[in-house]
Parts: sequence; C-alpha cells; structure tokens
Amino acid sequence: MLKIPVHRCKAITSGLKQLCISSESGYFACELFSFRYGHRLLSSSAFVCGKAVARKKPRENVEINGLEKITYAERMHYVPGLAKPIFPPWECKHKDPFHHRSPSHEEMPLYKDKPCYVFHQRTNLTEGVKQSLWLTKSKLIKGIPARIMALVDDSSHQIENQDERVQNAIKHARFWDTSERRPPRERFCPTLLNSLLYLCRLQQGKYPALGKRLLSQEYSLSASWHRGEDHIQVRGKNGMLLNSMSPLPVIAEKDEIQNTVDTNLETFYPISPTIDLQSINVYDVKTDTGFREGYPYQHVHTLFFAHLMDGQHEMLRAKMLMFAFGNALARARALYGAEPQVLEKPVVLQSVATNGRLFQFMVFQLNTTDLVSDSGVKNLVWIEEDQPLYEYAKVRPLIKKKVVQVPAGLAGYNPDTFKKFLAFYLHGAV
Amino acid sequence: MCLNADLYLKEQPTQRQRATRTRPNATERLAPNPKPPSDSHPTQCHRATRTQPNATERLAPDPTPPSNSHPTQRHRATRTRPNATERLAPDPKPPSDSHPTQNHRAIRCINTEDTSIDILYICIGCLWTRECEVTSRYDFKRPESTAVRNQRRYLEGVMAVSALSRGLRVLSLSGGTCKQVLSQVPRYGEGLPEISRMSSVNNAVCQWRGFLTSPHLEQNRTLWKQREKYTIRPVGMKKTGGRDWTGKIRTHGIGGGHKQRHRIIDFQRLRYELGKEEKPFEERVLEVRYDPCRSADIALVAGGNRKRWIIATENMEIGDVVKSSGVIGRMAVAAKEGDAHPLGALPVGTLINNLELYPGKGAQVIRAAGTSGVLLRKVSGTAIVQLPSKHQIQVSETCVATVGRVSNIDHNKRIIGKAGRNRWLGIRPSSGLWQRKGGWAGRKIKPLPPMKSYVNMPSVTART
Repeated sequence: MLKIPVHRCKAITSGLKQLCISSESGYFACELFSFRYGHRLLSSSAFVCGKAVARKKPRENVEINGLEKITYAERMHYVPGLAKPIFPPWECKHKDPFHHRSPSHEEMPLYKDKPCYVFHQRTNLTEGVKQSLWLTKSKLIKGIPARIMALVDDSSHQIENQDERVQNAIKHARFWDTSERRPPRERFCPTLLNSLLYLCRLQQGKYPALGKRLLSQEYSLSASWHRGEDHIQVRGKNGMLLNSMSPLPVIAEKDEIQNTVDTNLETFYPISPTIDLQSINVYDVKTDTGFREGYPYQHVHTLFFAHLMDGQHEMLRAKMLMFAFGNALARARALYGAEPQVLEKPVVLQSVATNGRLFQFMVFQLNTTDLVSDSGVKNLVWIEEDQPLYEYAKVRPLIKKKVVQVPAGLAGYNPDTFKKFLAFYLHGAV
Repeated sequence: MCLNADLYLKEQPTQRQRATRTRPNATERLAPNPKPPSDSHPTQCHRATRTQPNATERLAPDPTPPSNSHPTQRHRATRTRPNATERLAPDPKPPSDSHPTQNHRAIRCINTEDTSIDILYICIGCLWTRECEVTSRYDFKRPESTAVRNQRRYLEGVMAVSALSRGLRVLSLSGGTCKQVLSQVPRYGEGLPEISRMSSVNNAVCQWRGFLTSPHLEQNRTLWKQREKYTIRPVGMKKTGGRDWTGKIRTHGIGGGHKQRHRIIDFQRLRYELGKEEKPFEERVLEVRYDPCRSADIALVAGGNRKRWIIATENMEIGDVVKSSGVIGRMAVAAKEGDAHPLGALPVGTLINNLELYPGKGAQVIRAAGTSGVLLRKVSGTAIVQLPSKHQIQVSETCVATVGRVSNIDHNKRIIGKAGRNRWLGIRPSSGLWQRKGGWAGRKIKPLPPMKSYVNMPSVTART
C-alpha cells in the first residue's frame, strides 16, 4: 500500500499523470508518469525548467475532391478529431462606417496600370531643388530678377517707420504672443508671416491696385503632366495663395527665353528623378486650380509657405518650386488649353517661404507646357535663398563662461529682407 | 470533476444567508453533519481540517450525487429535491457514475435561469462519444434579496465563462491533480473575494497559466517585425526581455536599455529593381550612421527609384557610388571597396564581407563590425572562403559578397567603462555566483573543423 499525502499530490505538476484507483478498498496506488522532457523536479513545475517549445507549424489543409469534411460546427465547440469549420466571411447587413472595407486597388474605378508619381505636401525630395528643376524642366537663376530688385532699392515704396514696425512684428511673434515662456515655431512662424502681410496690406491707400487681391488659405491644387515616360502630379493643399485680378508682368523677355534652349537639365545618376515621389496606381488625371470657373481673382500672385521646421531648407525650396510650377501649369492650362505648347505670354508667379527667421524668395516663369522632352524651351526660376530677417530673438540671454554671447531680445535685424518681402508684394501693383 | 461554478453558485447564497441571519437556527439546519461528502471518486481529496469550521454552518450538502450506471444508457438526471425551496446550498458534488474513467467534468452550464441552473457533465473519456452525458439541475427557490440575486447572477456569468474555459482547458491537461484543486479549494471559500484567491491558488498549485487570451498574447506580439513592405523609416521595436513567443525566457541576461529603433537592412545586396533585372546597377551613399541593432555602421544608399539601408564597409562615405553586379565574366573584376559581386567574379585573395551562403538568400555571414573574410580559391563553380573565425566554407560561386571590410573597425576597442553602460545596451548582469573554473576556462587548442560545404544543398528557390 502506497500512501501519498494529498498536498504532495497537489504539488505534482500537470506534467505528471496520476492514476488513483478506488478508495473503498483502502488501497491507493499512484503511478507517476513523467512524459515531458524528462524533468523530474517535483518541487517545481516541469514546464518552468523545460526547454522552449518551438512554434508549431500550421497543419496543412488537405482538400480531397468528393469528400466532405466532418466539422464540429453544429456542436458549437471544439471536438478533437473533427475538422475545424470554415465559415464564409461575415458580412454586415447594414453599412457600418467603422468597419468599412474598401475594395482592393485593382477593383477601384480609378485604377490604372501605369503608376503616377505624386508630389504632395509631405514629400521630401532627396536631391532638392536639382530634382525639382528636372521635374519641372526649369532653369535656375540665382538671385532676384532685376525688375523686383528695382522695387527693393527704391526707398519711395517703403512704409513709414518701416524698421520699427517690422521689429515690433517680430517681437510680437517671438515674445509677446504667448502666455508661455516663449512660443513654439508652430506659433510664431505663421504669426510673423501674417503680421508682415498685414504691414504690406496697409499700403493699399498708397497703391489702390493692392485692393484687387485676395489671400486664400487651404486651396487645393491638382496638376499633372508627363515628363519623359513618367506621369507626374502635384496634388493637395499647401501654403497660402495670394490671387490677383491682373497677371504679373513677364520677367524674362523673348530672347532670354530662347536662350534657355541651349541649357541642359542636370541629372543625378544613379538616382532616378522620380525618387521619393509617391508612386500610386489609383489616381485621377485632372488639372484644377482649386477655384471655380469665373473666379474674379484668377491670376496667381504669390504663394506663401510657413515652414514649421528648423533646417531642411533645400526640401522647402524644392517644394516651393513644385507647387509654384503646379499652380502656373494649372493657370496656363486654364488660359491656353491643355495642348502642350510654348506659351505666347508666359505665366509668372512668386513664392515666399519662411521658417520664422530665414526667408526664401522665388520667382517662377512658366514658358512652356511641353514638358515631355528635355530639349526645347525651359521654364525659368529665380531663387534667393536663406535671407535672415533677424539673427536672434532670445527670451533669455545666451551666456557662455559668464560672458553674454547673445543678449536677450531681438538682435541682428536685417532690414533688407523685409524690403524684398515688400517688393514681392508690391510687384504688379506699382 | 466537479466544477467550481456550481460550488460557487450554491455557496454564495449560503454565505449571504448566514450573514443575514442573526443566529443559525438548529431546526433550519438540514444537515448538521460536517463530514465531507465522501463519494467513491478517487481524485477528489477533501481536507477534513479545513472543512470543519465551515461545515458546521453549512447548510445541507447533498450527499447523493446522481449516480447512474453507465455508458450505454444516456442519463438525464434532473434533480428536484423535495425541499428545494429551503435548500440553499445544494450539493457541490458532481454526478458520479460508474463509468470506468470516472472523470466527470462539467463542461458548461446549459441552462441558466433565475431559479435554477443546469450543468452538463460529460465524462472526459467519453467526450468523443458523449455517451454518458449527465445533466444536473440546481434550484434556488428561496426568495432572495436583491443583493443576493445580483451577486448570484454575477457569479453565474463569471462561472459560466470559467466553466466553459476550464472544460476546454481540461482537454489539454492530462492529470487529475488540477481538477482536485479546482473542486476543493472554493468549497471552503468565503464568498466573493475568494475568487481572486482561488485563481492564485490555482496558478500556484496547478502550474498552469490558464488561457492565454488576446491581451496576454498581445504582449508577445512582434508585429513590428512582420512587415511586408520595405521602408527606410526606423521601425519602433518592442523589448522582449529575452522572452520568446510563449513568454518564456529564451535568452538570459537581456532586459532594459535605451530605446532602440530598427532600421530594416537589405542584406540581399543584389536585389534588382522591378523591371530592371539582370543588369548591374549603381547606388549612391546618402548617409552613413550608427545603428543600435548591430555592431557595424549602416549606410543609406539610393539608386533608381528606391532607397535602402545596407551594411557600410570600412571606408564608405557620403557621395560614394557603389555597384552591385551579378555578372561572372571570364576575367576577374577590379574590385572596389563597397561593390558587390558574385564570388566567381572576384579575384582570389579578395577581402569580402556580407557573404551569402545560398545564392539569392541574402548575406548571412561576415556582417559584424570590422570583420572580413578571404576568398581562398575557386574550384569548379564553387568558392572557398575563410571566415573571420578561420573556418573555411565552400559556397556556390554565384553567391554575392561585398568587397572590403565591414565598418566600425574599432568596435572591439571601445571601453564600456562601467557596469551601467552595459545596462544601457540592454545587457543584464550575470549571476555573480562563484563557480569553480572547469573545463571551460583556459586556452584550448583544437584543430579546425573540416570545411563546410553549402553547395550541394538545394538552393532556397528550389526548396520553396
């Protein structure tokens, strides 16, 4: 007779099989089988010291024609030996927006076999301006065109107390416009841009033509074109758009446009020009300025971008160029039709971007809508990059080794930058 | 055997009853006998010592379970006791029959009403045939207070679930130990708080972790790894702490450390772009940087319409153009560092890294910082390479390798400096237990193993 205390029995793990027979005869018999990995530590569990079990491979499902599987579907619980039932996918009777399943891309009506490369507001081009020059078939000229530089240099166009008011605008954006210690870039960058635009708008009494403009936010652009074999689109919302009733005057004259035939577009082998553009197969080919037919302010004047990041200015300039080109192309298509052609009267528009301190100025002139081949007339773009409006706007002074490196407050104000900004605004109205 | 569901169901009103009564009336005690119901079931073990104090107050444990005699006939014993109205603590015991395996187990509550509950018992041995199903009905006819009823309903809900789960679990368990405990422990329970105690007892004694339901399994998920589409964006990792997919420790000494993100490395250097197969291609290095997931540095290369991370070689710099080729010409190529060629195209004696063992599978060896292998000789469609460990392997000559030495050559010279830095790296201290040095200590001189050949094995594509 073998007696095993009850509490010992309990300590025996699940890995041990216990077989007890009949207490009535007063006879306990325990047979202990250890069948898992041979671990016989009765004080602890077998699986604690057991080797890790490899993940089971899923069993192959064998389908035999003419044979029906017996499943445990009707019993509504698992039964060993019976097959797992396979039910058809459950379909909701009503339309549930939280469990909406869109069809696969291939089944969508807009699906096309050839992919389209899309540039949108979150696209960052690896090669920066160089890549967007290739995509828009443009020639880059550094600096600001002479016509606008004349406006910059002319002091008669300036506002009264210009520097003081601009510095107040900067201080407002950087110091006063918050209940925190200092506002973040997401706050001060749009504030500064709007304050400067407000200062420019105040000139309307002096130049009545400024009244024929409208600033619009959240406009949605769509422009698509073929470049080589690739289909490229600029799409989506980005920046603020200043529209005007009258077009901007052409900047480069005909002979200068003809000279662009000789220039070659820079390539960047081994990288493809369409790298980083989003390749999609479901797309709509349309050209849309974002405004309805008959909108009175039909000409694009300036695009304003608030760049909410420190750094990545090359990406920003590439983005400015792409969106400026998209806007110009959409306007040109609306004005002159969708046929690829060298435009009689080029479309000119400007673009200004800021990150709250540095300003990027760009003038774009769309000379041609024939973009498939690399030869022929190119478009023109003037870029003035990284113009600081001020050097430092410190809430607390920067002290190193007990020496004040940068005092608190606004430092290093650069009046030329706002002159350029104002000139860009007045361009076309003066 | 008996399921604790019914135990609880019956037990609970009892407790409440006891609480409401100021003094238990002797006349109301239907069964003052404190002896635990001794049935013939061997696996049921009663602890008399613990039964005593409780059982004196317990009301009427029914000593007669529906006993039926066996398999051929199908039992449906619906028990309605004559004094069911007064019975507050019906028998917690299951129907015991003379079925040979004696392994009755409540599988589920099949009918739960306000006044009664039917519990289905099935012998485990006959689970397949369901020959000896037994159904027991327990009634509660005594009018209950609202609190009691609510509590009972709550317990019914809990127990119905646990009954089902335990019934299922029992299928995968083998022994009877577990069920003893399950049936015994709650019998002496003291009401609601007992549930938590019960579960802990079960865990401690049964050594069974219970069902791993979705919240638990979610802990072991490695969804960040199972990514189909390649991306150069760093992917957030979840720390495993050395645990495998079941939650058990697979590797000791791992845990903590700085948060790391995983950059997906493309080890198959000769991965052609879609539509540009079989042509050598070039890529430009955009960035060379540290990678927390490996000792070597990694490089971001761009070519065509894609970008990818590769393992950087020793002198790789931003702006370099590296070439990948699958061509084996008659002449050996002039190997430039960072280029990837099949072994057959490289001159003998070239330093290589990131070597594939099977053509097209991706580099598997010589990937650690500062390592390099040597192409020793090429023999009739195969190449023999000396690994950094001085072992020699024979691989197919179409296996692609990168020329040069892996970057971060000073990796072995870095100074950890303090114990805490290893913790930053996610390495936990070893036990510190003094152990006598044995055979593992000291220098061992042993011959190199024979050359290992990866050639005759079928290639990956053929196997899959």
